[in-house]
Amino acid sequence: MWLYVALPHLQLERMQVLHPDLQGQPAVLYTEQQQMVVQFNQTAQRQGIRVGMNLADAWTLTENLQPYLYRESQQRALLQHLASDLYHAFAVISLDPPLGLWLDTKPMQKLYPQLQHSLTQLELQLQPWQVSYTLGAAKTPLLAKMLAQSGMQQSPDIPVDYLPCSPELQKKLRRMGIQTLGALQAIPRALAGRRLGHELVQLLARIQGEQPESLRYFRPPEWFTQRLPLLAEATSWQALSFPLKRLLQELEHFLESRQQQTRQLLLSFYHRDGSVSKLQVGLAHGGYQAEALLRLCQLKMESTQFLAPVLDIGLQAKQLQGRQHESRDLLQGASQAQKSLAQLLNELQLRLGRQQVFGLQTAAEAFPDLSWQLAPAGAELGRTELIKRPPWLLEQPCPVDIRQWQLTRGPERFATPWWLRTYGGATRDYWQALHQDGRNGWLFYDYRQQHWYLQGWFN
Amino acid sequence: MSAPLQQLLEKGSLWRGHKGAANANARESLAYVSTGQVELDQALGGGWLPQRLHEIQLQQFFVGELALVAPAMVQATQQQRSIFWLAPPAQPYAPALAQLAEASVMAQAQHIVLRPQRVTDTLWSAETILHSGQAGVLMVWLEEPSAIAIRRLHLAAAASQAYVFVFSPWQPEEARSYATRLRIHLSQDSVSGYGQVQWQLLKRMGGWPLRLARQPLPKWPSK
Repeated sequence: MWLYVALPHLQLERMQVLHPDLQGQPAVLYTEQQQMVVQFNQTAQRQGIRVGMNLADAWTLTENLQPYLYRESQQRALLQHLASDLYHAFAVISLDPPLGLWLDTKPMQKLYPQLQHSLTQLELQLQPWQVSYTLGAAKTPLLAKMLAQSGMQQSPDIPVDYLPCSPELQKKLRRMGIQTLGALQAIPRALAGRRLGHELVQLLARIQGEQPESLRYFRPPEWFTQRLPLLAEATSWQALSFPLKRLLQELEHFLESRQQQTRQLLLSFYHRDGSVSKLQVGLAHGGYQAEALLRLCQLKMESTQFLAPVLDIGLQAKQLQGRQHESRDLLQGASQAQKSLAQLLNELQLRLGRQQVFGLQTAAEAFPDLSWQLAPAGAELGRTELIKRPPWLLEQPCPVDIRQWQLTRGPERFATPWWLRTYGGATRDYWQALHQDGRNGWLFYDYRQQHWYLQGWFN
Repeated sequence: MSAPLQQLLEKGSLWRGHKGAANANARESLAYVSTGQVELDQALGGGWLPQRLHEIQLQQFFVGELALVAPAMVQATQQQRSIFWLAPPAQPYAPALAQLAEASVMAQAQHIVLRPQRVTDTLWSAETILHSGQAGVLMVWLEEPSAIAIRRLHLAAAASQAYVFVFSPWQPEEARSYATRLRIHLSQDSVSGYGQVQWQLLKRMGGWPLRLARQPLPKWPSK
């Protein structure tokens, strides 16, 4: 059994959800080329506006018309998005852009034995979208689509206007006095073929399921990309934060259903002259909650100059990965933390720069410069076998005058093998030494340079 | 004594001018962590308190200041909280940090080093870290902390569970929002040449300012 969901006003209704003040006004979407109305809302419908009407005619019907440009790409993206939501409940989905999609109920029969179950499930999935739709259920995809589009209950009642065939053929049919599909099917197939041509025979075969439909099945997208047109040009970062929040909530929903988190957000701002400015927000420790992501975006925006008024904003989430869960000890009681360590580190790295925030780790090497390493922030320290090491290390050993020092303990000799890149072939004697001001330093004598250096401090 | 007053005393927000026997009991319940130095612990009533700001003034770095923080680091690690180093004067050396206590404990320590480019970033980071509740120990090195900055840090520290230390050069003695102000004087033993420190407490809880006797320079405690 095939279900066809026709969504005649998807794009406009989606705009209404995002901008609720549109609801009370007659709004239409029109095509740029023909200036023709393609989608309208209920208020516009009450004013007598219909699909296919010229935009100028629509203006004469109502003065406060809100016309917006129809975007084919946007419509496809929305349909994709809707399908990925339906994918929670239906395994086999096929898109029929621009206005509808098919669902196959057969693979889901174990889960939803009756058609009614499927319909309930469908309603549940579509509810948050707040879109109007019509349904058609039939044995073949084509029939389901025609039922949904015509709004008829029985397939014989479908008017021939809904047959997906050339206008000439439709004209011929009507001239022959055939108004409905039922009337057409009543004519013997051979006779109809002789009179009306091969096209009709093929069409009938498709309708009756004798010829399988070649549908392309939907696969849920692996990336999150969305674009949101703004009602009015935004001229400051503040004006953008509300629509951005909407987008981030969608993203959270997307990530939540996949149990994923993102490590990079790409915000695109589309300007009137067609140029696009981009803003990248990196999250070294991943994130998925809209609230937290919004705060990070705002942090980034604050430090960036606002360029030009923005018409549309786009959001892309990259570097998706599985979530890591912080596990805590139940017995230690509830955590006092306001936010997770990952969140905190994200914020710090965004403001200070990724290189400026790091963790420390020991390394399994004896040579002083190699026995530690920078690690991603949040890494654990690790173990060491070394003893008597100073807590401070100078980033660059600094040459010293040995006359100011008194050697107290040592030497400890390190000779590195020649194949090491930076420290290869070095021979050093390390000493604990007392500086003349009383502090304890860690000195070494480098045999290659033939000089004393200060490496660290013991106090 | 009224109940609210008693509560304040127990929290350590309020203390008595003189040390009585009853008072000593109340103090024991506070979450002091040792400084690692017996005399200093006594002078401070037990050591460092969490949620407070402790100032350590130094004329030079590396005069044993880190050793005073080491027990707090061990405790933070045991409580699975991170240790933050904000703008340290040199690189903290991982092998020494790992020697601080038993390897099984210290191996899980999370040391996070931040090197902000500007002072405003340093202060912002400190507040963000404290407000997140993730920090066990926060050490901040500041050149000239303003009274406002310290006040803000004080409020942030009160909202956290962390031991907060501000290291700076010698500062004027005018009032600041620190719980403890410790000034470290470095000198030398005239005979051996070994370094000595004198701890001067410009401000402490539960007592008058105090100068302690000279001590040998504390070394980094390691197992």
